[in-house]
Amino acid sequence: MASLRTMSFDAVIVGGGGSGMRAALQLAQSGYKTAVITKVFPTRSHTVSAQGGITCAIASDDPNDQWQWHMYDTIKGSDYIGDQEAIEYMCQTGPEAVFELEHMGLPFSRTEEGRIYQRPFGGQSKDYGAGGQAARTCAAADRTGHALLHTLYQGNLKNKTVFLNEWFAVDIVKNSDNAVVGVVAINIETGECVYVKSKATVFATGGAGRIYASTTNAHICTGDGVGMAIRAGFPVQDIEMWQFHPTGIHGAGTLVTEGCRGEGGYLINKDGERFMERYAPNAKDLAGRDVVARSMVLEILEGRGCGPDGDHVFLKLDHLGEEALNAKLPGILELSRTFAHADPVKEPIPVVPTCHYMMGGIPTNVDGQALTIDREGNDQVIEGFYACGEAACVSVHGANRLGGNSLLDLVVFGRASGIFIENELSKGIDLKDATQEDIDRAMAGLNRINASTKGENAAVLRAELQTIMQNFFGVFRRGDYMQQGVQKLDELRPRIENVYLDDKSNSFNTARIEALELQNLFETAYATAIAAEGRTESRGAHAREDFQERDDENWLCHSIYFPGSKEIGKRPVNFTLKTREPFEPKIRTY
Amino acid sequence: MLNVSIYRYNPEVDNEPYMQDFQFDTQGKDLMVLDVLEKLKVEDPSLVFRRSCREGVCGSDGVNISGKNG
Repeated sequence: MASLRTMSFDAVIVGGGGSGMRAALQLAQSGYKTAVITKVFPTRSHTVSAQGGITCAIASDDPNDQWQWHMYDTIKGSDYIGDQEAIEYMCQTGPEAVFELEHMGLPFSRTEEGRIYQRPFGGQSKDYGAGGQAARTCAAADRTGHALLHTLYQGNLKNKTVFLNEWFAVDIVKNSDNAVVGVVAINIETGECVYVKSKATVFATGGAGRIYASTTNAHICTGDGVGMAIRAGFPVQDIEMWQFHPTGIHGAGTLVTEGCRGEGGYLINKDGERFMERYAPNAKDLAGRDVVARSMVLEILEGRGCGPDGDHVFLKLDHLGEEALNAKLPGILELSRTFAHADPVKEPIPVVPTCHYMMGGIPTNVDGQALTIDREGNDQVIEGFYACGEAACVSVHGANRLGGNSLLDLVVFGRASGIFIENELSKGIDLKDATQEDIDRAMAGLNRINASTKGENAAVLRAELQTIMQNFFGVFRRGDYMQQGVQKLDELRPRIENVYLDDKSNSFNTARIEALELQNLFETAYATAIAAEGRTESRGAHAREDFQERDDENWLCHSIYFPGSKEIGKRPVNFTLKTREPFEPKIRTY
Repeated sequence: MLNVSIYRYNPEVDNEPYMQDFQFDTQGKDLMVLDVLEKLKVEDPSLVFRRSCREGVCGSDGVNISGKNG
């Protein structure tokens, strides 16, 4: 086995989206030798499509707003399995992180006074839920993610970050101490494989919405970080928690931001009724996303859906007026006209709950260090391994994420990981080098695909996987259906592992990349299935017909999927706040 | 039936780029150009193009189509 060329860095970040680039910026500014490995040009990362905004208590719209209220909203939104110390850190540090972005030049929308525009968003309240709807989501029209990503890219260019663009990380390289010492990666343009050696490896690889047939996610959201972590034997947390965004365009799956409802839009059934008034009398259409999604599905199941097949509902915006729509929601006007053939100025948009966000992921602490669980059930830091952004599970979102909290999560924890790693590097990081066997092990999956002589096409297998997930592990789940789903996945596994790569050429071979992504999609889907079937309660986005109540006695905890045994265990939720008493779990209504 | 003519080039095999013709049956559905390319890739996995968001915001799949950039 010929040995690979090695490139050496102090820190390597896999993923060039919002979180990866914020971590990279932090490290580039520190002067450490940092590289970003990204399978797409950084500004194409999925962060670019985030619409609504970045939720943060900067007290622009309401000078009396407090980060503590944001913390309460987020803890309640998580249905009480968000780690409270992590949420406290995120909400308290948030304003600092957002003002940094503003100083970098992020073109936020502005009020008449020139302050950052904040819009109302789901689950946001004043005075710990007692003071009505809060407007806390800082926005750049309905293209906040786009603005944020480009701002961060420019910041990285300014600080001369090294980018390995259109390089695909294949697998983690571990040394004999089971520490992470880098990754093996393919330069997609040339097909060359390189061992990218690093003292600190950060996974900012994003989500995995493409495990479902209908998703708001880009084609690139294939769970690469989760897949690589699972193949390296590392556990993933709360992976059953998938957010179905209430308003994905029916058919296309394209996202229509919650900001539409923030600006005054609302959902109606076939009778023109604003049905959220029944399900969430106080917050109505701005209840938590899991609550709204379930309400929509119930309306459809009970025969009040819209369209010839009654399989969606409508989002009504025309009453906002053309001027307001053009000013505040220009992006979704275009999306709706293009993908739904509906002009929101005149008619409602057909929408349906669509797979949107992965609350679960690689478990980390507040510094971004990835964790595993030892034999005694205690947390153990995985040396050399970090995660941030959607791929990580700190956990700030628990069983359900509030809108606008993802962009905040990205910058707060991208920054925190960067700061922590900078500190570690200054103290000196000394990890044993990987041996040739260690590197060969990381090449095993790729080698098998390159040697394949028969088998099935990746695109066909991918569609089968997505159909299973869509049908058996969607908005509403049931034990017997999920067991069927797990069985189907068991049957699919060998077929996916034996995918056939027909075109084995080297120059910009995306068929090879899709075959590798398929493996990551499968591991993420399988972990989701096992964890969903295992959590015998309903909480947040995980809604079961056979266990309809929240079970705090048995399940006020994280789920942990162990790749070795393919079983789930439990991990305690953190309930220790620095600034006050923790929030006790309550019945969650809006 | 849609006639799709695509500018192809594999530096490992071709001396120069060439146009390759495909026939695609849209079955009367209203498809995006990207949807057609994705379906053609299932038939010919060597067909390569950048794409990501599929909603016109990321810029990955900008190409010249019938003389116009889109």
